[in-house]
Order: sequence, then C-alpha cells, then structure tokens
Amino acid sequence: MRLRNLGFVLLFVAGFAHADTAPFDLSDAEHIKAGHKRFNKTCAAYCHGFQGSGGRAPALNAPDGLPPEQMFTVITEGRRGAEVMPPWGTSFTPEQIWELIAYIQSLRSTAPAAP
Amino acid sequence: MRLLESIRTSLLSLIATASLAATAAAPSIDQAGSADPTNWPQYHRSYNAWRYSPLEQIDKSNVKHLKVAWIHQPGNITHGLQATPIEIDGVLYYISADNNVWAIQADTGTTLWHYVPKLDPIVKEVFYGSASRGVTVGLGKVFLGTLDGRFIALDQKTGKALWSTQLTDQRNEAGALFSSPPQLAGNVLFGGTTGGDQPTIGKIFAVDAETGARLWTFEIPKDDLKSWPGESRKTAGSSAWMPGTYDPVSDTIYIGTSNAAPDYHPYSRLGNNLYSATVLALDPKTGKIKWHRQEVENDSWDFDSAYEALLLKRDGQDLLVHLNKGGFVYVLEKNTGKIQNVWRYAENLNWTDGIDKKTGKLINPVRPEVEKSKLLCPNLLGARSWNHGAYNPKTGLWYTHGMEVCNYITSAPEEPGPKPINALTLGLEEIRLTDPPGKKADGWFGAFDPITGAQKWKIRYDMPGLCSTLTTSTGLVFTGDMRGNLYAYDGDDGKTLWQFNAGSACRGGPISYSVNGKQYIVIPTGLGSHAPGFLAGAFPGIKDLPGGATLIAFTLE
Repeated sequence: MRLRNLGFVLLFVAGFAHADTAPFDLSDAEHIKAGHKRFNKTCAAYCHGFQGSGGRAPALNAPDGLPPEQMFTVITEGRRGAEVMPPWGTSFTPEQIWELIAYIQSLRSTAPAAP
Repeated sequence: MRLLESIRTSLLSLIATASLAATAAAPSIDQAGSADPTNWPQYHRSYNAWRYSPLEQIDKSNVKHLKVAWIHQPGNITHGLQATPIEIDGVLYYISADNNVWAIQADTGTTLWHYVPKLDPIVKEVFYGSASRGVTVGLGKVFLGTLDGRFIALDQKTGKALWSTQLTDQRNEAGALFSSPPQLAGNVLFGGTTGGDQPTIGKIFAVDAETGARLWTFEIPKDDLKSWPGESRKTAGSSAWMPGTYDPVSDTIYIGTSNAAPDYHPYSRLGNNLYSATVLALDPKTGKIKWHRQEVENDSWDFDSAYEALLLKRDGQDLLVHLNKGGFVYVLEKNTGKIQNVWRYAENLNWTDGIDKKTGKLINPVRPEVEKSKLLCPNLLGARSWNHGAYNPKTGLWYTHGMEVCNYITSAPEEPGPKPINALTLGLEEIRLTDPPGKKADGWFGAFDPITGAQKWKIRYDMPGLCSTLTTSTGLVFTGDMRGNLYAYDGDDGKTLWQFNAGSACRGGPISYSVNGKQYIVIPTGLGSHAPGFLAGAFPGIKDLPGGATLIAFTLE
C-alpha cells in the first residue's frame, strides 16, 4: 500500500515537474492524433462535447481557453462546481496529458471565428 | 391528529411486523399503491413502483393555488439533487451531494439532523462522483450507499452512525460505488454498484440490516465461457446501479442490470453476456435467481435494463412492466418472467426490427462497426433516462418521459492493460449525439396503457425532461422539464394546470405526503448527473442552463 501511494506521489510530482514545458512540439500531428484518441476514449467527448464543442463542461475550441500550463494543472487535478471533472494526474503520464493538450490546442485553431 | 397518526403508525408497524412473519399479510400489488396514504415511505412510495399518492386534498380545481411552503438548501450543488426524498410521520429524509444526509421537519423544512460522512479521498477520482439518488428508512434506521463503496446505517432519530460495511474495493474494481440507495427486503439490505461502462465484474451486495454483516454477493456476469468468452467476464461491466424493489407477497427482489462493457464493442465478448441487460428476480435470503429475463442479448448500444419494475394486476394476472433504454417496454408475467407483450415507446429506433414476443430475441439487430461511423437510434442514454414514470390506478395510465435523440458511433476495441479508475470502457473510437433523420431532436412526456402501449396523450419539450414523475389519486401528474419548469398536468389529457419556474431543473423524484392534515408536494431541483452534459451534443442550449440544489415544498395557501 505504501509503495503504491508513493507511486502516486511520484507521478503527481512528476506531473508538476512537466507542467511548465511541453516535452514535444504541441503542433506535432502524431501527438495530436494520440491526444484525440484518448480524448474520445476517456469521456472527454461526452463531457466536453464532440470535438470539444462543449457540454455541461466547458467548450474547448473557444479562443479564450486556458494557456497550456494551466490546462496541465486542471487536467491533473480536476475541478468541481455544479459538475465534476475527476483528476487525471494519477491516471495519465505527463506525456499523455500533454498529448491531450496538443489535441485541445488543435481544436482552437480549427474553431470557426466568433460572430 | 397526532394521536390518530400515532395509532396509524402503530397499526402500520403491526402490519409490517406481521408481513415479515407471514408474507400473505402484505398488500397485493394492486392494493399496495393505496396503503399508508399519508407517507412516502420508500423510493417509489410502494413496492409496486407506482409513484402514486392516494392523497386527495390537492386536486384539479385547486392545484393552481399551490404555493411554496418552504425551501431546504443543502449548500453544495455538485451534480444537483438526484434523490427521491423519503417522508415518514412528519419527518423527511434526503441525501445531497457527497452523501450528506438530512432529516428535516416535513411541514416546515427545519433541519432536525445532518449527517456528514467521512469519505475515502478516492471519491474525488471516480467518474460517478458526488451524486446519490436517495436513502432508505426502516427498522429505526436510515440507510445509504456511499461514494466510497459502503453501506452505512444511521439512527433514524439522531442521525448518528450505527454501522458501516465496506463492500467494494474501488482501486481494483474500477471505482465501483453506490449511486442509489440500498433497499430493504425484511432484514436484508441489498443494492448494486456503478460499473456498467467500466472494466469490472458488476455485483449486487446484501447485508444484515441490523448489523451490517455481509450475507451474500451476486456477481452479475454469469460464470460461463459461452456467455463470456475468453477473459471478457473480468471486464464485463454489467452492474445494477438503480434501486431494486422488494415484493413482500412473493418474497422476491426485482432488480435490473446494466449494459455489458465495453459498451459499443460487442466483438470482444461474443456471447449472450448473461446477466447483463436483464431483469432479475432474486431470493432475498440467498441471492439466488428465481427467474431472469434478458432484454438485450450481447448488448452493443449501451441499453441497460436498470430501470424500475412496475407491478400491476390486469385481468387477474400479476404483471411486471419494464422499460428498457432501447425503446421497448417489456410486459412480463410477474412470477415467471414469461413475456406477455413487448411494445415500442421510442419514435425513432433503428437498432433492431423489433423484439420477438415469443422468445424475447432481437430481430435483425444493427450493431456498431469498427472504423465505420453508423447512425444508431436511440442514443446512449436511451429513449428514456433513469427518471422514473408513475402509474395511476384510477386512470389506468402510466406517465413517463421519453427522448428522441440518436448518435453516430464508431466502434473500437479497448486497449489491453489496466485502466484508470476514472475511465470508462466504452469500446468506441468516436461518438456524436445528433438529431433523428429528418427531424429535430426533442423530448416528450406521455400517458400510455402500460400493458398494450396505447397512447392516451403526449406533449413535446424542446429538450428532454430528466425529472421523475408523481401522480395522485385526484388525477394530477407532477414532473419537470430541462429548463427548470415544474408542472402539474391533468392526467386525463396532459393539459397544464400549474407551472412553477424553479430556476434549475428537477433531476430527482417529486413526492407527496400529508402532515397534520395538510398535503405537500415536494420536488428536488438542481440539474445534475452526467446525462445533461451528454445531451448537450444534440441540445446546445443545455450548456447555458444553471446547476443548483434546492428542495422545494409546495402546499395550498
């Protein structure tokens, strides 16, 4: 049990260690593709809508989204308000979280302009 | 009046005691709906799941004068209020976010006690966080199933914890938790967990209600390689996440089970996948199956069979009416599960050509495919969500919501290996909710003959309603829409007789009871659960609807 907890702590710390900088180019197509696949498989497509168009959870394709570092923190720690976003920091590696961020960034660049 | 209530309570206690000793003393399924008229003593008020109040003070002529009597706010709005409150002898019990339990005076809303559980921090990691559909009251106790996988008993008078029993291993069981109140079958307290969309083995647990000692555990996926080839049983999902009901006359638990996992990839579990998507009749003392009726074999569409088991008598025959997410209502012989009828309630449906009424088999099912997007109707939430219908013995009608929404699905196998505790195994590459072909997605509320499916009336909503239904002996029907409007309809024709804007939608269960001769209608409000978020794909307006958590009591001026 202690070893397992230690593992989570290390993963958590490792997450923050990677929070400042992406370990790869966020516009890289392969990483975007990997993030897209994970987004669809882990409920994000349910909660944040098809291609991040928004559900009860916020739209992710809007131009006023969080900068990458803050996205990393939110995905790692989750959020609670009227809705629940569980923390993903114990589930995904920092690289996997950065892949999600790469995909979300790609949605913003393809979103239609605000009226 | 207090004296009268005391006498009535004593009589009811005697009746309850006698019924435990000799089940023949319990009211039959057509009498149960009218027993104990002033209270709402269990989840559906009566074991026949009618959600019918025999009270008569509020009727069609005066319902327009309903006013707010009191408001109770639990203070935390996460996932709204999803509970159906319980009311017994002037005290109302309900549960709010994060398993906070409240006892309040049913005529004033004054808090009598408040129980704050000490939950394992793991509850912050689970997908089905924060919400619960209620508590159960009996044997001098208030029972709850918790977000960290326990059954807990509280003292009914004080709210102090009496016992707590850990039942799930969340770290190793995909976060399995109790989102619904466990139910009483005499001294047996039983309930199932979340997990229909997760890589685990769904279970129903039973404990001794007096002590919390474990009695039996029913593993829902059958231990049978024909049903679950290879290793598929270990990730079968197949939970029972809604409350079951206990029929004291036949001494039987009726409980429905969820879809199999991974939801949209049936090719990784090519068998019939018993007992997923099944209505189970269980012996409460042993957990053994008396009979079962699987509604969706090798489910490929997320069509759980988890909803309420409505019990009716028609032409001298005891029947069980059961609505499945897939758009069909099954009418079964109550004591055998034999099919008497199957009728379709969904308007837009393309996943099968129908149900064989002799065998129960699907006719030409249309399954999702890998690397190919297919339009499937109804959508993953079904043609109705878990918001319960209500049956009125005087009109002979069953009142229920429905929705007309489809989804595009591209199936995909799940990657091997362990999954995060908060992840779902949906077996898909992509999902997109959408309109039915040639129409605009919408919701409706209708009145049906529950046996034949004959429609008496139907009204439309621009967005599906997710509120459960209450009906009363005066022919009223109470429910709410997605926008936060609460309604009293005329049960005969669907005409709106009263309307109130609560500010946030009802997702729980409206109830009615009487204290000191005064009838109350109590409606939990506050939009919650994951369903509204999922539906936002087809109804963008849902994004802007406010959350909330407010229990509102109405009475006549």
